[in-house]
Amino acid sequence: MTLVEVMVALAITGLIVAGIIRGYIYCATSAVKAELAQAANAEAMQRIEETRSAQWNTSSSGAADQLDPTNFPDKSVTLDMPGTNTNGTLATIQTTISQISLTPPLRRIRVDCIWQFRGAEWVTNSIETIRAADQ
Amino acid sequence: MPEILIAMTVFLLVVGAILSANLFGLRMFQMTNTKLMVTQWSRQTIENLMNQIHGCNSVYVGNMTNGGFAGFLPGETQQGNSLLIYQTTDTNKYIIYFVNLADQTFRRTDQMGTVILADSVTNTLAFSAQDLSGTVLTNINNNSVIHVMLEFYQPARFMQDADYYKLETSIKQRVVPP
Repeated sequence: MTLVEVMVALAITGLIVAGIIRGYIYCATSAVKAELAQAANAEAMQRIEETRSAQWNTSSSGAADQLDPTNFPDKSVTLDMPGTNTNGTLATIQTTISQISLTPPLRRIRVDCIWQFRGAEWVTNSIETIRAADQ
Repeated sequence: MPEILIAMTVFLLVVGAILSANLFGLRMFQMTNTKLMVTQWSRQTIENLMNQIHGCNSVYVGNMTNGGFAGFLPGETQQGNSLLIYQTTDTNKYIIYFVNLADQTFRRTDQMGTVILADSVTNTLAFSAQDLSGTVLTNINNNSVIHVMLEFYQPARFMQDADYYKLETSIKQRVVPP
């Protein structure tokens, strides 16, 4: 076996090892992204639950309407997750409420959680629900 | 002779690279495994909690003292270490989630017994009843949102640094009895 053959074998081994390491890094990055997406989903769900608690009564005896966009302004949150030793990723929660029907009274609630993955890719987790009055 | 020396050097380099790659792989596996396990656990726990609160008959925030649940009186801040859920009007059937201050565990209790759901919980006031803007209420209110926040300290383990993180969600009871 000549030195040239050894060097060629080493180069091939190096390429294989580099591929394996790249695979590990890809797995770790995907796990982090999945965790952040889950945290973003939880934050959006939290806002949806808050909108569910807003009073929206149409009955003449006790009419009330707290299901208004002004009650749910944009909010900055931190997407926290384990194993990073960092302060988390910042995200913005946006709420959109729109009337889709007067009879029966129905409103669409859409919550977007917008965050940036590692300073490069912008990701939005959205949740939509439809809510009736007098619930 | 020089061939043997070169071969041995190359062999040592290869062995070193293989060992380094193995250690690196182990570390990456540990990191990914921890993340996925915690993600799975939190998703399951939060989902169970959400389902139970969504469909419950009544839910109360309080404190677990001497093995018993103590709810808050009107006028008191609705924030404590435990959550009592009645699935029906039968008060003999209940579920209590609480942070056990003695050993910093997050537990679930029902008629069948108590199970530990998580450990290393560092905060005591895990549950609160809030209004739509996130303000903690001082009175029991049918429109309150149950806010859950668990803060964890993950001690340093093999090839993994210590870490602190929190799990937070809000859940609104769906069917409010008349």
